[in-house]
Amino acid sequence: MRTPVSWAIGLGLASGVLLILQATLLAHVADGAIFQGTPLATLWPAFAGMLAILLVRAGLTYAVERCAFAAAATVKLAIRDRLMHQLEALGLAWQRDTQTGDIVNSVTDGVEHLEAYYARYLPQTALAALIPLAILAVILPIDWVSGLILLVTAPLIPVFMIFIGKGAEKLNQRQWRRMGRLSGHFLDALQGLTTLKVFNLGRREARLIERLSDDYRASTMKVLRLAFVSSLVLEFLATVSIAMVAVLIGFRLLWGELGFEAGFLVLLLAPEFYLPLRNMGSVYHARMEALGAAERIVELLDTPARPWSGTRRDVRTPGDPPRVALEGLAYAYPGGVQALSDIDLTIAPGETLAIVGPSGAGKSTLALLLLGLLRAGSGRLAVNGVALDELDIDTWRESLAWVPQQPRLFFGTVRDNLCLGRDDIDDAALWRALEQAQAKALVAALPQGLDTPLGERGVRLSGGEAQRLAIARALVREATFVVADEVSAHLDSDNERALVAALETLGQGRSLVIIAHRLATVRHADRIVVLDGGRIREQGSHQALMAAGGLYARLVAGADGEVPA
Amino acid sequence: MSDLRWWLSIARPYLGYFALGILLSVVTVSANMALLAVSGWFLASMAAAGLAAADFNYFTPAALIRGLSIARTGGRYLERLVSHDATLRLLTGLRVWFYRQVEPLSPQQLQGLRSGDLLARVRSDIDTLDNVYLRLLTPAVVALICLGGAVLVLATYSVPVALVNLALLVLAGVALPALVERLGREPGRQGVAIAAELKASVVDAVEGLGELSVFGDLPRRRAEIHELSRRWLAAQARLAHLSGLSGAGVLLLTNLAVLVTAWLMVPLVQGPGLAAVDFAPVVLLVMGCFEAIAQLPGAWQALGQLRAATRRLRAFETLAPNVTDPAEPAPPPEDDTLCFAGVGARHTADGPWALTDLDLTIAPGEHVALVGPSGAGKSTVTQLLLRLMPAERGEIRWGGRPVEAYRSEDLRARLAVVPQKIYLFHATVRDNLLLGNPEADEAAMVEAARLACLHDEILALPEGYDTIVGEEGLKLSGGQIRRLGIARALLRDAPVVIMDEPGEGLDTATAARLRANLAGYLAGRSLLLISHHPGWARLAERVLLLERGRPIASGDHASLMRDCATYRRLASPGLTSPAPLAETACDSLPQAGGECR
Repeated sequence: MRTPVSWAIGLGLASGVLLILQATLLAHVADGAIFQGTPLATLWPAFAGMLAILLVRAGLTYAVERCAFAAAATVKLAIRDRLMHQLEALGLAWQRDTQTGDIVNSVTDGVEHLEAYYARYLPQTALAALIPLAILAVILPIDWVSGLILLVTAPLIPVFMIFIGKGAEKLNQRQWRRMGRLSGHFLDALQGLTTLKVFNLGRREARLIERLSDDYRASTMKVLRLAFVSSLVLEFLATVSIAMVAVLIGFRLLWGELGFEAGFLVLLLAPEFYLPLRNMGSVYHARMEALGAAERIVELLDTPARPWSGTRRDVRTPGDPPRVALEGLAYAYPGGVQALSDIDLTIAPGETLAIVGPSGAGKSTLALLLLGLLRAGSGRLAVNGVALDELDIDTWRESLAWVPQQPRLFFGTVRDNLCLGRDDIDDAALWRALEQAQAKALVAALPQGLDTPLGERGVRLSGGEAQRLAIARALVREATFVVADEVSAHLDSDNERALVAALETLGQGRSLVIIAHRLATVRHADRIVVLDGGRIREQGSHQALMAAGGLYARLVAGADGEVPA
Repeated sequence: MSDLRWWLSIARPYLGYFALGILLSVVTVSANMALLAVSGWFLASMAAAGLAAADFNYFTPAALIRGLSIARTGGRYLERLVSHDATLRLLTGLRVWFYRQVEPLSPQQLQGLRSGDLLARVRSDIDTLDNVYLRLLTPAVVALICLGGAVLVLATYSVPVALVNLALLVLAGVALPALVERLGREPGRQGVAIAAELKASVVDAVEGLGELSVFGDLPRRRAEIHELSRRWLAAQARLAHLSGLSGAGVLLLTNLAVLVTAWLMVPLVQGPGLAAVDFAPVVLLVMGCFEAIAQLPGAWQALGQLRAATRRLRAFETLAPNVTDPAEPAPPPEDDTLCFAGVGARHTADGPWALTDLDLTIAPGEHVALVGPSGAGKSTVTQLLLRLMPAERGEIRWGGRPVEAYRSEDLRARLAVVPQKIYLFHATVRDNLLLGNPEADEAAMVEAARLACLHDEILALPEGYDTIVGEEGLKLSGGQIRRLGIARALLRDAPVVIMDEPGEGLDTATAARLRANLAGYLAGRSLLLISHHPGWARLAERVLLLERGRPIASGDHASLMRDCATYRRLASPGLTSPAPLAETACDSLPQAGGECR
């Protein structure tokens, strides 16, 4: 990444030096044409020189652009890769508290914003220092008066820029925030449009948008009147210096103290002296934008991760469900909320275990711990007697399947979604799994069968349907330990029946842990574990628990209204 | 071009400001060109006078140089002020225009607008339209005027010089940018498509992180994202290549113009027609001209963006509202008898029926509950009454007249609705409550909050009723949001109340208190209640059971609990009962081919 930036700077500087040379030749031609009466026949080598220079400069301009792009491209590709690795290392525990949109923005647009920094800000900054120096080095020996004017005014430009920029930045930021609020209000109104209409406020809102927008304009203009003064001063400084240079040269020409060729050269170079400095203003904005994005990216990359580091791969016996033991397991979410404590539980090979409990009891957390998606804070989770911390996590996951409550349908076809993580499955096996998951008719009815696109831009499925696909996905995989989180929504009778049957198939020949919301599921389970407040309150069969008359019996009876909080 | 015409029609009210901005810009740019030329002429003349030891009136050119410097910087300052003011005015206009376009549309037609993605695009499209003035109109018009003038000035010295420069200016300012824009369209389009794919892929990976980890699909996803990222860079590299070529081309043409001008001028100034010193101003004026076309490539790009943004925004223009008010509306209904007869409705013209064969009469003051699994068509009933969608079959009457006879606003004024998904605006609690009735006084608002069991909790918020809530504001709990939605509806004091799952997210005690409060409030008002919870269903005198858009049973809560297994299954909370097999046919529904009296 350093090399292409240096190349961009080097080539830019070379172009600057050639520009000086070109101006020298032009001044020579001008002097010859006006004062020496030199004919074209004599002047042509100068013209040929200028032609050659401008061809080289055109090539350099192109090369600078490519180098700058290459510099940014390398950085962008590398940072995106690192971000994706980091996301994987951070896992679900961290994701809970972070907005998806925020992360997605960092990976896509955020990384793009870095381009301006590497491709424009870095080279421009270097050139803004180097080119004026090169020009000064040419002007000073031939006309020290003009050189002095440039030397004195040049530092004033960045100084003024910083000086005025500081104040304006504060004002600008306040204005940006207002702009954000206003824009937010507009989007808010569009998003809540139905609510506004329901309350007959649709028309009033149009007037409100107009009024707020106009207030914003008035206040912005007040700020801009001041903020633009800064650029006014800068422009004025540059323009007046050039005018001063021109006028002073003029008088010395009149008094014969300076030759025309030298004077004309200085006049040609003076604007080029200020140009890179003035360009800094525009790339400065790019820098601000890039810094904003970089801050978020660095924050992401610096978040400490706790990846699994075990290496043992000798535990799993393919085809046989494992024995999973939880001993004194506890988990607290980052931020300190204790989700689970003192969980002691053994899941026998092939057992169907239902976990029930009021919302917030810690059921989903327990499921995520079993799946190795969260790491317990204390206690031990052992597979066939070996702690998960010592196991190579991929070995454990190879025996796992998961049916989340709201399965994510990935962008891709039904087939892609079913084969997740595998590519050696034929259609017959897929249809078999779909049939067992009670989803065969569902997929057969889709416009392109297995090739129907799903996800945000594809066919949308209802919660019950998506879950049956997820069950099929779990069946496709030769998993021996399955965790399923039932949909809690009220389904119509057909969907409900299909789902219960599909879950039953899933439990055959596998260990199955179900986070249950349905009495039918719970009755079929070998054992029911009742969670409340992050602890196991009771466990046993349906009959035993009903007879005990505890929390479970109350949940089942729960005839009176709401789920207890 | 038709896009530009359309833009001009929207921007019409602001054209005066635009004209002023352009005028100031013309002053600035021409002052800059004149400054260069005059300086060159001044220097050459002073040198000539110096050599000839002649006298030279240097006051006029020196003053001119000072004047032009001031015109250039001052003009630039004023131009920036005026053009920003105009841009902001246009932004207001565009937002109000867009809002007015979408306001009459139905929730289905607006569905996309609820997704952040489309919303962000609408915003950036509006910004694009807003930028048309600064990026397209101003540079194009200014270049036309200033360069036209400059070429005329050059022609007074030498017609061939003027023509050569005209040709090179057209090449550098029009032909080259147009060519680059055209060549860049394909990689640009590819870039946008790949970026969208990358975004979708990252969203998938981030939101599906758990599933991808468990199923061992993450490495493949990562490789896919890397590949997309690489392909995006490849498309960008083609654009960088073009932009490099275009930069090189402009540099080439600019310097070529200077070179050719100098070449042509040498014999001319040494001949009889022109003074020797004329060489300097002509060459410098040519340099000035090419500074004035620097913004034209951007203008071409803006034109391309305008086209895309216009196409997307105008798509909303073509959507016809699916509910319109009659030309001569009936006066607001005086009697609130609601009657559905054989009503059927769909959310899209070719979609499945969301509701079929609904027969239902709600007498004024009567309380009716709709119960059914998700997707049964309950919310559709609400939308029909709110006139957010039309009934495709059958008839809905309000106070004896079909609902189509009234102004929608007159009907909505008689409705207080608690929707299932309550939208909170990014505003204070007070503002959100007052949506129900903007004219309500403090006492009425507090009373409504009390009824909804929310007042004490609002007072406990950091700034009480002035706490900002909504997506970016303070996060309220699901139950608090629901009660805020209820309080907002109660504040409305309307004769017909619709509540969709009012008890969701509330604990047992709060729900019971709320029900007790509502019982008093609802006396004498009609109620359409949508809820599974028996506790709530008991508020209704009559329950109608819907499944897949079709009414399948009706009766009071107790009789349905006794006779109808589907109802029992839905009504039991927490762990739901086994699905009914062939158990009980819930045929308590009178098979009336319903008609409204």
